[in-house]
Amino acid sequence: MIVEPVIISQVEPARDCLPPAFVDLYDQSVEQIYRYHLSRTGDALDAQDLTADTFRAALEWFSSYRPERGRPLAWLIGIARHKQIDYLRGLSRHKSSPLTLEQAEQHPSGWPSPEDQAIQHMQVAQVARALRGLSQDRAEAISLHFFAGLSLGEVGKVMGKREEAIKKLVHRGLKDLKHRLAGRAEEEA
Amino acid sequence: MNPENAGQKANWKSRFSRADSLPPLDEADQNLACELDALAQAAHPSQEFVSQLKRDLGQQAVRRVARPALRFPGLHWPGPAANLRARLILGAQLAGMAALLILLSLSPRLLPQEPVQRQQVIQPTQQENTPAAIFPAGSDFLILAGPDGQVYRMDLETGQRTNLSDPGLYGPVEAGSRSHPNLSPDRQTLALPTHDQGTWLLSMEESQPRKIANGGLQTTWSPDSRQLAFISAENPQAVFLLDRDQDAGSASEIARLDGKIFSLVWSPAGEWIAAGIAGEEETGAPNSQPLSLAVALIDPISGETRVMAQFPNPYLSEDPFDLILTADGKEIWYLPLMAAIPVDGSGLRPLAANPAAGKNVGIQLSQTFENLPGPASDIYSTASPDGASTATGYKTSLETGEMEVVAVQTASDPAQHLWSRRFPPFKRLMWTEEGRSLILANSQDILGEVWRVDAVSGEPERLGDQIYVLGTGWALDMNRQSVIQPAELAHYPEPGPSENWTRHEKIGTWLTLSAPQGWHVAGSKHADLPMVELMNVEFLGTGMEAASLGEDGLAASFYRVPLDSMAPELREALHRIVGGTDPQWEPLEINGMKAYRFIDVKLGSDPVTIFLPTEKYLIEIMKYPAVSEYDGVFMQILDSLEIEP
Repeated sequence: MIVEPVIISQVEPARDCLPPAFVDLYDQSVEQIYRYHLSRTGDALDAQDLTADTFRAALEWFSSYRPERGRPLAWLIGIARHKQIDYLRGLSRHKSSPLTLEQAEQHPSGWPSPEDQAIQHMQVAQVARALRGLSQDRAEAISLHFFAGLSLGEVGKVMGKREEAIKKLVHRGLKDLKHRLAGRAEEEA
Repeated sequence: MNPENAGQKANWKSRFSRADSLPPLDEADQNLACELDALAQAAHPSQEFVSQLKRDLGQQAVRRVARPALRFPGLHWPGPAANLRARLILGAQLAGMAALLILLSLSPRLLPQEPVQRQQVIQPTQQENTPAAIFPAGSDFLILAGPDGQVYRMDLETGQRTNLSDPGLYGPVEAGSRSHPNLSPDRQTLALPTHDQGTWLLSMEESQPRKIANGGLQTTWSPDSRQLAFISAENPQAVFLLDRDQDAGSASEIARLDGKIFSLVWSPAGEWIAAGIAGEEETGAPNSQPLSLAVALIDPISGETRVMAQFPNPYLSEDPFDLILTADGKEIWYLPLMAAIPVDGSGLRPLAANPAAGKNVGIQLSQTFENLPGPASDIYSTASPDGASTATGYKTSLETGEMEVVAVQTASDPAQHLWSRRFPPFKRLMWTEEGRSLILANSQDILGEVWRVDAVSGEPERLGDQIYVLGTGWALDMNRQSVIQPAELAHYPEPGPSENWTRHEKIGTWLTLSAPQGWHVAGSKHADLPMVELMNVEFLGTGMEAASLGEDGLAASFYRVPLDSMAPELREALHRIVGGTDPQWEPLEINGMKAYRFIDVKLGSDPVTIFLPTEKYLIEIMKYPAVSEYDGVFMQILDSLEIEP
């Protein structure tokens, strides 16, 4: 696999070195990748780190991506899932704390207020914790469908299952998740 | 986050219908779906992060002046160009390998081999392509694929790799699909279905992939490897037959069955092909699930079809499982239903096993539970080719995904523990054909590490990283036959007085209970919930599962309901399973324990009784033979149960 040399220009902004197709992919999918990671980690900073890792790896492999194999988002999600596995491996060694109000306040304006963001991430953290109690397939199907925004058919392609199977996973995953969230709410009460 | 959006809820409600064998989402589920949608839509990375990452990626692109060849620790992917140094290294390595082979042929074979030697053999090189290697007879191999889609055969003895497809064709999304890579029994041809690039036949000796269909086929080889029977996703009711040397266009339809075929396996002697069929069958009961399962035998010459068994089968699992053939070819097993189907037509046989004969059965069964949540969801087991040993991997930590593998020699009595060792997460555990090694790998859709572990010493060796493992030659060659011999129907030893029972302390580290001697007891944790497992019964925290099959009544149905609606739900479940009239039930209270007795539903001659031990802990029943005989015993076990929080 030969990668064509890239001519370095001192003048052009760095982003212009990115392949236009990659820029499009980034713009269209960065939020979905972030949401997917957020749903599994429950932590905004970890989700951002994993999003960055996902796109760095995607850039590295971008020349090997083949459009005829499917939507680029599905390809990207495949990389994101791999990063998730790495994340879980390292969780015990490095576990960052949830987003605090102070951290949230450092985020630029134009997005939900720091308070809203903290509340939102707290809720996502609850969902992420509950998802970890589900079977891997159910949790993955729910994350991919709700947070990565993939259709049920696309989730099937990413997970290598038929759409009917994904429907069952999401259907039962919702019920399971509901019980787990209710259980946690009772514990916290 | 306001879930009160009628349009959204209706949308969610309509996504699941009875056509999918699923009941509609209830109000609470619809609300949760809407909440998740809203939560996702409200989640954004910070704008600063998005912009900064884009700048960083731009810098990364600048640094990519010339990317080096892809490298994998211990396993090398072909680099972009050969050079003189690389050729010298390759030459030296081939010479070393030849010397090693000569040494091996002259000296007695030592088991296990020194891992260091193997590691040297598969040192990375810079060769343009790996030449075809001479594989010692009987050696096993791995089929691997790289991120670029190229498929390789890696000989486990030498580490030598042969490129089977160039340019690459493997799409990494096949795991979980019913289309499996399938190696011909003569090990010359791999039928490789891909997700969206069709199905290919790959020669094991050369890089000349041949496309035989535009879709992913599910295949099974004839024992002489000359024919391939297959079904396609577009036409899942029909079974086709194809000569290996011909295009799929010349395939002929040999049978058409009444339902979607989910599993296809050719008998060892070639006289029939077994097909698992998921059919539509309404039982007429309210909320009944339309899914039924059947197993049929097809004569590959005449196309004559004979249905051997049919199961009304609601909520069996996320997806049907493959059929398993016994090694003698006399029975087909469908493990989720614990059903053995003799091919002589003598009727169903329940697959209960006594503790002594059931060790291997238990191992196979654990694989059927992999969709269950929690640590119990990640159990992967494999039996050695001679059946004397087993290895089981299970997750030790939900947080890190770390796995432990335990190898046990089951042939000795008592079973002898060989070794235990921890590994990074994996999803497949395979024994090599010669029995000397275990292969640990991820599923076929995950780029990951692959480990080889010495079966005797447990010494690990990492063969590679960032790679897809399609399977070993052994695993791909099995035609999904079982190495297990049929076991006998269980009969519990007499429990005797409870004063003489055995006290099992801290089963699964937090369960303590008493049980009759000779009763197999195991404990585990099912997510956050404790589970006690007897050989024929499981007690679980959230709900219960019960079903009936045949006269002696054995089955499992993944079925969970809240406690307060347990009885009517159970009645419906049983009604779906046994059919006929609505089963009548009566509430009981025996020694302070709630129970329901279903008068019309009998296992053997006994009506089915289902206990609800406390408000908190309910029962999950996987097998339930002659339940009434053991009513008192079960209750005493439950009484003795102590659970540490």
